[in-house]
Amino acid sequence: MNKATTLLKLAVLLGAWSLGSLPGRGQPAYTLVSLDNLSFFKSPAANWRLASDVQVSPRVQGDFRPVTGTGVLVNTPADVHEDLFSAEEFGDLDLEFEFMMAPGSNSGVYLQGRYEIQLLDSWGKKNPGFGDCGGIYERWNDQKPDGQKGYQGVAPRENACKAPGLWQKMLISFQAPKFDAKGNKTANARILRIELNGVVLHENVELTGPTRGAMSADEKAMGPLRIQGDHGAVAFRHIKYAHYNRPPVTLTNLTYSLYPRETVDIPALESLKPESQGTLSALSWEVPGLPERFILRIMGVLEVPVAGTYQIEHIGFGSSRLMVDGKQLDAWSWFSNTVSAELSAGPHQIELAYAKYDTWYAPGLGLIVSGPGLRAQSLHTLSSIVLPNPASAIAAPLGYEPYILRCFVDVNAPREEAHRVVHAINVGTPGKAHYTFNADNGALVQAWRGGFMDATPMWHDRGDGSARPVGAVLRMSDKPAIQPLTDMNAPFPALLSQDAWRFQGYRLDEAGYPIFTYQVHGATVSDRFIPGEDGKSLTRELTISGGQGLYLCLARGTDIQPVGKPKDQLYAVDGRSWYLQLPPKTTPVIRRVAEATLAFKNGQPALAAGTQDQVQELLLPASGVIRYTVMW
Amino acid sequence: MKKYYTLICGLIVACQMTLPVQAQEFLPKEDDFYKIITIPVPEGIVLEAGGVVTLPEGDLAISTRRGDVWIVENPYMNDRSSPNFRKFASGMHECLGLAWVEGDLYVAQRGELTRLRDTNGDGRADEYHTVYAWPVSGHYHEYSFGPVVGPDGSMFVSGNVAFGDAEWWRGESRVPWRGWIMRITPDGKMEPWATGMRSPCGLGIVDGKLFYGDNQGDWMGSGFITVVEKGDFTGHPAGLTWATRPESPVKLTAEALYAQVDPRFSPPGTAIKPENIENEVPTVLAEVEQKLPAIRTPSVWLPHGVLGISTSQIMPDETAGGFGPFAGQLFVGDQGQSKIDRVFLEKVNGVYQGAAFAFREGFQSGVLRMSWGRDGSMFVGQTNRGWGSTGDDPFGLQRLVWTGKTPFEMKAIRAMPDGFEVEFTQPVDKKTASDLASYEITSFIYKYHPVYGSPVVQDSVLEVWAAIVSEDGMRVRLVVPDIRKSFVHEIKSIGVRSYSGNFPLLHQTGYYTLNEIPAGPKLNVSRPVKQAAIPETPVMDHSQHTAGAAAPAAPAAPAEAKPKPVALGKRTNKMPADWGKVDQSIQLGTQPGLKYDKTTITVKAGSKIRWTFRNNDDMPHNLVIVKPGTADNVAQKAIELGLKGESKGWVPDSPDILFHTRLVGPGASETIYMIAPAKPGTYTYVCTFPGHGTVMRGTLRVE
Repeated sequence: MNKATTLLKLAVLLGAWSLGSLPGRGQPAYTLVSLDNLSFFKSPAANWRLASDVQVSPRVQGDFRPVTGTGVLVNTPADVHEDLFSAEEFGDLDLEFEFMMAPGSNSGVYLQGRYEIQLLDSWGKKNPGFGDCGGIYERWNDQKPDGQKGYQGVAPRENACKAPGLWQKMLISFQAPKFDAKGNKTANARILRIELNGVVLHENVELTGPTRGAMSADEKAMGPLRIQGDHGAVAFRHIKYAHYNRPPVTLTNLTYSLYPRETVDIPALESLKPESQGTLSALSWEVPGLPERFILRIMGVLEVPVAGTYQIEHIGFGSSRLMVDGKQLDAWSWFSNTVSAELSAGPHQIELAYAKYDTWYAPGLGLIVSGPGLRAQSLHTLSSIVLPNPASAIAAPLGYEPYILRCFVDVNAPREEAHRVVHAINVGTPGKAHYTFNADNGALVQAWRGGFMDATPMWHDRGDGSARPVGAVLRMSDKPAIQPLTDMNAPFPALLSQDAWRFQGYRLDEAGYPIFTYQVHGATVSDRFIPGEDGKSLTRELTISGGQGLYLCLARGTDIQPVGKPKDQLYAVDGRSWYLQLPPKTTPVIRRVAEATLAFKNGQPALAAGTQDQVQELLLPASGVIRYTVMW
Repeated sequence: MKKYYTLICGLIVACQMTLPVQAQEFLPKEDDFYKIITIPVPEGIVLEAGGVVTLPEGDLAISTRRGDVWIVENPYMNDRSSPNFRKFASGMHECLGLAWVEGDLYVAQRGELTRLRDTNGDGRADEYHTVYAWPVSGHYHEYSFGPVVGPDGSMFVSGNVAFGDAEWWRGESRVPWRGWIMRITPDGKMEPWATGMRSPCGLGIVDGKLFYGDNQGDWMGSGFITVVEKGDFTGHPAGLTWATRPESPVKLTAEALYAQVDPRFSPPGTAIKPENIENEVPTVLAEVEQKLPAIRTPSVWLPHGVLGISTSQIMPDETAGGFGPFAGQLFVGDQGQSKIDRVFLEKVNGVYQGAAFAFREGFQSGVLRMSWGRDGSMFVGQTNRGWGSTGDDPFGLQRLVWTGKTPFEMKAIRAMPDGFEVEFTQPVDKKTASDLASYEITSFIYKYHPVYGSPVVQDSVLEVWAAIVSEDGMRVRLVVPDIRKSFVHEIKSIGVRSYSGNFPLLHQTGYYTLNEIPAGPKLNVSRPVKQAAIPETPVMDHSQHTAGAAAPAAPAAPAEAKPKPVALGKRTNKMPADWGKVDQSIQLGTQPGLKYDKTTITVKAGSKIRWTFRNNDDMPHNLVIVKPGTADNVAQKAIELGLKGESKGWVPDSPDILFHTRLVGPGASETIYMIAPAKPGTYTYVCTFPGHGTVMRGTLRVE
């Protein structure tokens, strides 16, 4: 079998680049809404106020206990139950926020006060509809007979909703409707993208008009952000937005000079005589008589309507270099580079030089401008950059039986470098709670609901041996689960020596679930996971014999907070990102220690020097039978 | 009268056209002796076979890249009933091997050796026991193969190298025992066995010894098979990273090796892929072995492009004649060319060596694994895994069945102190077999260098002094005094005919790797009087057909009032001075899996074309534009170039070829200028690299 292909390398590069450049996927210049006060909002009613945190028992309907302070926006509707409006009005908008639902609660975010993205406690719901969390709510026509009044609601692709009382993250990329000078609508509003807890729920959905419950039946270029406040308790924090209210830039008066290029060195262009010259109607590499190797120098005028700092990404499949007003902003850059330029209002001379020496890939040339108030705007023709199509997806399908899939899994857990788990065992359950077990250290690395895995990266063409979870992934820790601890103030050992660990495989129980067995530090462990009702939780049961002074780390995170009464033995872990349920009368060790970030090389863990993170850990002595439940 | 004349002319033409075809139909074909039977795989099952083993009850067990183990019941399809596919195990990590040991199935996943057991008797595995888990870094190329079971019950598994990040072409061993073969006992004890492996997909136990095969790559001039003793080093230096560990049986260091052969690492901060240096004094592995005895040179080379491009399983014929006349010999699969080679092995001065022959081609996908059925037939598990193969199905399962007829073949070639002895499967026609002109012998070898692959080097045509036929006509002693130790000897018996039927050999060429020259008496033969020239190839040899020369000349341009364009060479890299400009520029690339990135290209008849062919694949390809309906023939001729293929860029001499590029290596490109055919029609562009021609094609529509 053969070696890595250069094509693959370029495809990866192209893939990574194209993902980064799509609207909403890069990092827009966000403005953070201060929640030290409520000044962002227009005359908030009494049901809206500030808090520092909220405590919620996930199984107690309506439970919602704000903690005094600031930083979190809470809605506790009672006699007063008004919606909340921003003081400012918005057009095109990227919006990112975290939210927390009370059990059974209902809210929503109305873009321009008119188009509602539903927020709901949809925890565990099997087939989410437009009225579930992340749905684009339906439109409404009173003239129609009953049963046909509602229309055009768009269900989320899947249920990515977490349990009430946990912080969830939503990202909305919205394009406002467009109007001509006479006020006639020329383009519908559009949801460019919605992500919930890292899962894409919608892409490129046109909104033909306001959804039910809009503040107004008309449509406008601008409108306020509105949060529904009349249905149930909800909390928000880390609200960030990027408002795109600037007119686009234009690139005109394009001329080009074409130079032959036979060497790898990129000579000073000034010293060369062009082979041909001409004009272009739009930015593209597609000039007549282009040889295999060349330098293309394109001049033009960038008309900037509003002064400001702009990010300009220049892309050349090969190398490119950008000059603005005769000033070189960066060196020749392989593939692509983004430069920052302070541009006054008015025309600017642009020179984009593109050099291509390698011949094994097709040319590509582009310029993307973005900035405060300007959503990434491509100035090149569609044909100037052609990206490869994604492969047809190959799913690891879930049927009526558990599905075990061993593969490489790329994880990006908190306080760890992004890395590849090389002996991962992924278990998909018909109840739709799935998890990754690391057969190199016994860690419960991650858990998720939804589809099981996308095995395209492993099974398409040669593949890279990896598969990806499908759904909202709860990332926990890839540190060894069981380790000796002699000093209770010392951090839990992050590395496992080779001879301290021996994985022995698994057998399947009657239902087809694996029971893992392994030896660690002299202990023999039998380890199984039982999915809970509706896929809302996973219960882990370890049977440990032998070994001395060993501890099991059940939870690790920025914080571990008891939820409800002490006898409930329920804890919210890692900034309220998941719940840990212990059996009654358990006495865990909860402690705070400083830990080094876990680094990885060649699939093998190592301790990163330098950074120490303050983490809280929940431990139990590792012996006998231990049961605990992860719920999210 | 005119009508009558036309009729006669027509008849003559018809006879001319049909006669040679009829004659060819009489020529024995592989299919006359070994039939391929396709076993239907139920829709929905992706049977990318990584391991195939026959169970005692006659069923087949097949492990797949998708991580399943299927039990195929009734694979013989007795009474024409369908086979039944039962899923025995699933969810494993790309299983590229399978073995049956005392009631249990053992399978290599990427990261461990696993024992599968059905403890409750429901026909499905419920115990997945990790016998031994080895490190992997997570690189895509870190495939693991095996196990094969040694005589003592211990198992061997092998692991591919990863590749560098900057130096993406260079095999590297990122974690212990990648690029190694490991020996693992059923109770989970692992012993590193040998290193030097790059892509050790093919394992086999022969004569109670471990054999392994590798294929062309960096440090690997060509594919081969070899015995692997404990502590051996077989050529790829990646695994030497771990040879300094106390448990390593390999005592060679990378430093010692690099002192002999420059690894040509890129200077810091650069990534410059080493390319073949023309006209250098080549370093060959056997030479380095003189200084570094840990090196194990191949037992038998399988010349790249001729006897395959990606060596897979090695399987001895244990059928004791049930599979035909080759009992005790080896069969070696090849994934890329969808075929199986045959190897006759012997031991000379205690060293394994022998001859390799083509055996059977035409499988549906890439041949990866073979297993003997209970009836002496051979099951062939196949996949092309995104690499592409001559058989263009993505996967498949076939059975190779002997028809009971004995093909006329060189059964064996044995080394003699002064040449070779060729043994045939049937008595030869003594006249042709004793004619020196019936034989051509060329010796050659490959370079040992960090470059991907190697040209054939130090090739030399050796003179045959005598061809002495045995009394029974079964053997011919070839006296070749100039045979060269450590070289491969291409032995062509092109003129030899069978006594019965006067047929040529089914496969006329064998490749003998002469590691040792046996001692013993030499025949007292004097050098023959120098002949005028080696005669042209006999007519019956379809592999040497130049009959195309007699075909009508290239169609003349239509008699239009246009100036006749200046004739172009078939490979013109510079725009002809009188063109001024081109009418059309074509950009053609490649995709992994033996594909061009465009399947149809349309041009105007007679237009001036600049055609750029970019090879963005990781293996070499060419672009050959041929006349309508001739792609099969041209591709076949390219294969028949054999050892000459490399130097000709696998472009044969053929009037059917209109234009072509050179062989374009990975990451390179070539631009040719051509004038589109004057006659509108559907032409073909094809890659004629051996194994690619049947699938890697596109249509050139001339309007």
